[in-house]
Amino acid sequence: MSNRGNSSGSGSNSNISSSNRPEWLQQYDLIGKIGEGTYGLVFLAKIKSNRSKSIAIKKFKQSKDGDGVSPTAIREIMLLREITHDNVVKLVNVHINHIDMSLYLAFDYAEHDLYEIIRHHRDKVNQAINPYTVKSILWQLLNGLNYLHSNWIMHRDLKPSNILVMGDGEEQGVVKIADFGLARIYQAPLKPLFDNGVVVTIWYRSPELLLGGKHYTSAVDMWAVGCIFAELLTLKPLFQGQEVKATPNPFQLDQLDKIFKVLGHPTVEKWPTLAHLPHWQTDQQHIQGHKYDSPGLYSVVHLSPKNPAYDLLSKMLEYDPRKRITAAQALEHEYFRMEPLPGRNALVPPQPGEKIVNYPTRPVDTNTDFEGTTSLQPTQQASGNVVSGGQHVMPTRNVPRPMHMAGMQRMQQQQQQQNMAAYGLASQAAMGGGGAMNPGNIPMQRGVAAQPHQQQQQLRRKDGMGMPGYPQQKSRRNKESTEVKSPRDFTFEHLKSENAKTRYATFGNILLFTEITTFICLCFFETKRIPCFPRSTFIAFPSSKVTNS
Amino acid sequence: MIQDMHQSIEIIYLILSPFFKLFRHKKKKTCAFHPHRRYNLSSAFSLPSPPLPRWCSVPPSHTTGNSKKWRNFCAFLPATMATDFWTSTHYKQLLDQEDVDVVHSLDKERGITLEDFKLIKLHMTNYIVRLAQNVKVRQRVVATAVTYMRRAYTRRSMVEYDPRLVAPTCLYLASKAEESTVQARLLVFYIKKLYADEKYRYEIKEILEMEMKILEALNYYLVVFHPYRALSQLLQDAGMSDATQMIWGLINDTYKMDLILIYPPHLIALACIYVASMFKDKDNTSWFEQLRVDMNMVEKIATEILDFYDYHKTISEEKVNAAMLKLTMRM
Repeated sequence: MSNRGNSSGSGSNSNISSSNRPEWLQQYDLIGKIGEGTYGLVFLAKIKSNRSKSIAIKKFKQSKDGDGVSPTAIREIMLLREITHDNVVKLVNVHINHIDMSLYLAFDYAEHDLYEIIRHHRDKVNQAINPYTVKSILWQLLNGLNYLHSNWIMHRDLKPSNILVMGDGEEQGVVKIADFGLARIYQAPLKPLFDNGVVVTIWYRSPELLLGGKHYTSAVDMWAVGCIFAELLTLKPLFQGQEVKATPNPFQLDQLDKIFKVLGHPTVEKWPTLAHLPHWQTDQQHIQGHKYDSPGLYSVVHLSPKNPAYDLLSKMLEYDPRKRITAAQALEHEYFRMEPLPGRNALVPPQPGEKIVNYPTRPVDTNTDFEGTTSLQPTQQASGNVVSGGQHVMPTRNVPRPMHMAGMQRMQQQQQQQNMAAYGLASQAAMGGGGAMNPGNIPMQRGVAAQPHQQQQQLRRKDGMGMPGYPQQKSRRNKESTEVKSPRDFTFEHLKSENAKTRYATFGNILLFTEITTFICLCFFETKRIPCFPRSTFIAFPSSKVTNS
Repeated sequence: MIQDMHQSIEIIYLILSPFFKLFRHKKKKTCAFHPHRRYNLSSAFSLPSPPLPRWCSVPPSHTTGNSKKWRNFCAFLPATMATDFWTSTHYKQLLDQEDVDVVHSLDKERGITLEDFKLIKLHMTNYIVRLAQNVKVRQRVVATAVTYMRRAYTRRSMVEYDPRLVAPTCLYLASKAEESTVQARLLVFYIKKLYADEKYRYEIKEILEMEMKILEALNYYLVVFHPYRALSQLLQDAGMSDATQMIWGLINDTYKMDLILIYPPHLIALACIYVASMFKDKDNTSWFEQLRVDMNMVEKIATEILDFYDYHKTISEEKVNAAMLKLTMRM
């Protein structure tokens, strides 16, 4: 067996875990890491028996809190095992490594996602996306969503990075909805939906959620589709609100402000249930007090109000969730019946004369093996949003620990640097084909595919590959350009030692900080007559003490 | 800094809240363990009925058919269940009785007969129910957990997968799948409290390891459909709303058999209604006819349920203990 990740790596990456390698791993050739998120890592692999087939393997880490398989993974497995649809990502296999208790989901690999496609058009070709492509993507997205909704499944985390588009091959240009980590069946729920905490990334979050609506419906997905539609047209996120992090409720004033500025102020006449939404009532002076000018959606998306595309968009961005267009209705909309008609291959228009945009392939970090040996950072960053689109704003009740808040900035920088180094190596290996970085002279199938895009990839790297939660990207890009000139300026060894020092220093500070705050809080609870100190430890480990009493 | 403090308090509270809960539970007096109450013959009629499942409206695409009655039936039966029952993995996985009644070869070596096998599964069903009552989860979670346990033993042996570990693990997994997660440590806590027997004691780590094995044994199919789903609508339609509690209890008892592995859930619900109509001496023949379901099947299930109640009388504590002992005995 060959382990590509290690053999093409720097050599310092020792193969510690080969002895506990599970059997199922033999059927794959690991190519490298393509993404990272709260849940774990995503890898690109090829099936040995069928070299042409690429697989994205999502590895779920075992959570440290003794919670077993994460509810995110359970949801994803549960739903994706039941459903099959052209426009929904296909779960090919599930694997378990019993030794380190990690879970692997193998998906059909998709080369592109809307986040990358939009970014490519905005930053590289400076040109709007072909109307045929926009329409085909939207139609397929709605088609997949209609299937989900008719099966009582709400996605709850639609955003460009979660909408995948298949690369070269039989299914080229087919749109796939991915990341079901927040999705759930909403028929006859045992617990109210609100129990799942904050859902949907802020820029795509619907006003009823922002205003604290507890009984939301599948219309929240349609709002997100509307936002994505506008983004496909203008290449800019429609409502780019600043997120106030770490609030446990979905209310985000700035996001609402951005929405109202474009769509006008919602009124109780147009949206009768508005009056019942918690934040509409409580934040009178902020929301109700401020007056907004007349709506100007058409000028933002540069469409004439008579354009069917505009009509569809405005129906998706309807304030009242009960009046908002459903996926089934949207598929019947006039917009999809006029030329150019939507097609299965969204990337290549049927007319021969049209220019085809070659989108860059996903960068692969060939230094990381399945154990994630080179990326041990405890941060919750998501680099390239691959199968799952990385970071959820705040997943189910897993409120970020204080250490994430404090150490975030520095960790990000380190990770970036490390990623940069990794990509630098990867591309060297790819170009050399058998140079110093690839002593085994192993053919790099990935490198060949990547070569035509080499230049683009390097550009991509420069403006911040390994980007975490989408809304933060701007500030990060600036930081990076000032601090890192080019990925080649660093050697891997150099980085490693540099990184190690700073990483542990930061870590120590965070731990100290957490300990102190914990202590203070426990004191606080004691004063509030909530018993914490001796008893909490006592109850936390019933096995050792309680049983004897 | 002040804002950070504020965050931390919330977070710490979130971390600690399970302990508070635990503390509350601890104070409460729980009833002592009565071995004889476990096989209460009339449990169908004595079990308290949990609140009925909330009902949502029906997707319009599924309401096509001929008569109004048939339309109604289609509307609230399998097609409306979370995903379409007839395309679900639950439907595809339904087995024949003969396939369910296979004792694993490893278990056979220990001298476990088919009767022992069924007894142990029944015993473990009761175990899950007891645990669930303590950790307070809804009946649907219990039903899913029992289904997982029974499905797992169609593929795995009891020698390798100790039922006393599998049962709580199934409850743990089911609580996650049904979106009402129970903390593993809470389960461990109650296991210790309920059973003095060392053999029942398992640690959190073992439950988490078994969770993965169960996932594997279930072939990662986690969606289960239950007869409860359509019940209130069906009963209203049949004019039997007064018997809801009794039928709910009957359905609970069907999980002590393997019916859920063999028959579609709506037929199990109908069979329970059928049994209840017999008890109540209510003639529902015309109502059943209008439903256009295979009445032979319904009657067959109903007979199995009645047979089970007869068989139930013959079960004694000793029999169960003997069966469990065979499991632990080393050859």
